[in-house]
Amino acid sequence: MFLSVVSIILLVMLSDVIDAVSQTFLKKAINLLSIEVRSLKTAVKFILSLIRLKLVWLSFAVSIVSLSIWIFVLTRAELSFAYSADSMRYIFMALASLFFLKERIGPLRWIGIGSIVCGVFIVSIS
Amino acid sequence: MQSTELMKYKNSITVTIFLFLFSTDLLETVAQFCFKKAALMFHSGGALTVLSSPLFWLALISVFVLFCIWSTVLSKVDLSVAVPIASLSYITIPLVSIIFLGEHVSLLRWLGIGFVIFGVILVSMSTRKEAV
Repeated sequence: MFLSVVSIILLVMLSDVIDAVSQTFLKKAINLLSIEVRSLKTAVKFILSLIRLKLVWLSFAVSIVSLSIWIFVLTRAELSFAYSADSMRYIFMALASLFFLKERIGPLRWIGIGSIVCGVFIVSIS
Repeated sequence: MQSTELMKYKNSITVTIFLFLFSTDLLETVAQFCFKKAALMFHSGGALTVLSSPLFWLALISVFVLFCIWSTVLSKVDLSVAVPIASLSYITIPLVSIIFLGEHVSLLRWLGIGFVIFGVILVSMSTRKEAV
């Protein structure tokens, strides 16, 4: 059974928003740590401290929800259409970085992100 | 001076980070492929067949390694930098098919690839501006 165009767009949007939330949790957890990864040894230490944080497991749980919605869409929509709608993810990720992580996004980065959205959209439909 | 160097190290995109991001794209492809194959086994043999399949464990290992590399990248750069640059995975497959398989690629697709590369260059440049 194929879904309507509007419901595909809404579901992809939902999946992308939830994915942005998941990445925000992960980045927040990483920002809590002050381990500088410089070698394999520090990398192991970093990962071991990271998986002890509840935020990381929350991020996993949320990302499974996002992935489930995405797989549901993929089984019921045309692939190229679903992937072209997925180009929205870069906008939601940028907005999450801006509002929840207080990252500074200058004009250069915004133009770059916009160009990537256009590019991914074009590659998906062609 | 050391602190400025550290700042630069923390914010700007380096070749290593680029390579790390490329490897996450590769691992994601491997994980997806293995999970799909393992999921197909569920229909024929049930959960036990899936759990005893090396493909399933390869997929899990890929996801874990992916998590380690992605987290390390996120400890070095902003989320609003890592995510756009990871979009290069959209063009690695078309580029590989062009270079190694001699596949014909439409003008529209080239345009899309161009937009992605241009965007990635701008996002990478935006990290350099911060360090100054």
